[in-house]
Amino acid sequence: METFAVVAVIGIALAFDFTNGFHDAANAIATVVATRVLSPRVAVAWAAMFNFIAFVVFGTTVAATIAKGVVDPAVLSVGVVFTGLLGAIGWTLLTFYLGLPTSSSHALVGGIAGAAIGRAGLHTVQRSGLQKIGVFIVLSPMIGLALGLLFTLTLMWVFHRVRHVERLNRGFRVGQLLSSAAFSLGHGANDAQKTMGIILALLIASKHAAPTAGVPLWVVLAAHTAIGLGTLSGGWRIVKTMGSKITRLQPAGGVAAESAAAVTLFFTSSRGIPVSTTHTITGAIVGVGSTQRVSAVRWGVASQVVWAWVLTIPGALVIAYVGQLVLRALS
Amino acid sequence: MIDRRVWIFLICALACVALIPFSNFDKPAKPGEKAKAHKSQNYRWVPEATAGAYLALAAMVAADSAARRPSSRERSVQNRA
Repeated sequence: METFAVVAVIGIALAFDFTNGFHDAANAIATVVATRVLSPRVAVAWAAMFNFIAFVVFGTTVAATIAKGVVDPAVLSVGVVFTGLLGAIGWTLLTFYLGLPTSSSHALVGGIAGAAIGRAGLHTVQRSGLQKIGVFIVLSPMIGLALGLLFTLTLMWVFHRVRHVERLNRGFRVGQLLSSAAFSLGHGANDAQKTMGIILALLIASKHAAPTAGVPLWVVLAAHTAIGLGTLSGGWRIVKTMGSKITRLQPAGGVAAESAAAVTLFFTSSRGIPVSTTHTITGAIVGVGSTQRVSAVRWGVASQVVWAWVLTIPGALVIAYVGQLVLRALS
Repeated sequence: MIDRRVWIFLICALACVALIPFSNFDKPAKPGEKAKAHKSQNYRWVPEATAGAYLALAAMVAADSAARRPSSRERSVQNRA
C-alpha cells in the first residue's frame, strides 16, 4: 500500500515539474520568438534540450536544500510530502483562478514547511534553510535587474560606434540563441532540482533511501525529462512574450536580459539555493528597460513580483498545514 | 528634477543593505539533530555587492541626468529667445 502511495506522490511531483516546464518555457524563448530568430516550435525544442542537459552541468545541491534544508528530514513522511505538494499545487491553482501572481518554486517550499508544521510543530522548520531561501527570493530578481542594466550599458558602450546596425542586429540574433540556451540551462538546473528534492524527501521518508543519500540518477533523469517534456509540449502555445509584456526588447536587450538571468541562476544553482526563475528573468527585463527611462518599464508587472514574494510561501504553507491536519484526523 | 530611476536604485540599495544581517546561514541539520549553532555559510557579500552596484547605478544615472540638464546660462538664452 505504501509503495503505491510513494509511486502516486512521485507521479504528482513529476506532473508538477511538467507544468513548470509548460508555463515557464515562455520565459526562455519569448525574446527569441519575438525577434524571429527561431520559429516557436524550434525555439521550444531548443529550450527543452538545454532544460534536459542541465543535470550534466550542475550538481544536485538545490535538490538537497529542498529535501533536507527546509524541514528536519526526520519528520518527513509520505503524508507530509503529499500534503506539501497539495499545498503548492492548491496555492498555484487558487492564484491562477484569482489572477494573483505566484511562484511555483516558493509555493513548494511553503507547502513542505506547512505540512511539516502540521505534522510535528513549528520546531521542525529549519530556520536557516528558510532564511536562505527567503533572502534569495528578494535578492535574485534584484541581482537580475542590476546585471540586466549593467550588461545593457556594457553592450551600448562597446558597440556605440558601430554604423552597420543591420549587421550588428544579426550578430545579436545569434547571441540570443546562446543567451536563451544559457537561461534554459539555468531554468532546468534550478526548477527541475526542486522536484528532485521532493522525490528525494519522499524516498527518505519511505525508507527507500538513506537520510544521507544523494539524488538517485533515475530521479535526476525523470525530473529533467518531465520539465523538458513540459516545455516541449505546451510552451509554444503560451508564449506570453515576456519581452513585450514588461518592456519592448530589441535583440541586444534580449541578449542582456537572458544573460543576466542565466548568470543569476548559475550562481544560485551551484550554491544550492532555490529561486524563482520567472522572478529572475522579470528583474533582468526590468533592468534592460530601465536603461531607457522610467516610463519604458511597466512597473505594475514588477510590483506583481513583490506581491508574489509576500503571499506565496504563507499561502501554500496554510493550505498544506490544513491538509496535514485533515490527513491526521482521517488516519 | 532628479531622474526617478535614482530613487528606485537607492530603494533597491537600501533593500539589499537590509538583507545583509540575514545573509549568514547555518549548515542544514542532519536528520534528528538541531541546526548547528555556528555560522558556516557566509553570503553577506552577495547583498553587499548588489547594494554597491545599485549605489553605483544611482550615481551614474544622477550624473547622466545632471549632464543632460541645460545650464542656467543656456536656460536664460532659451528664455530670451
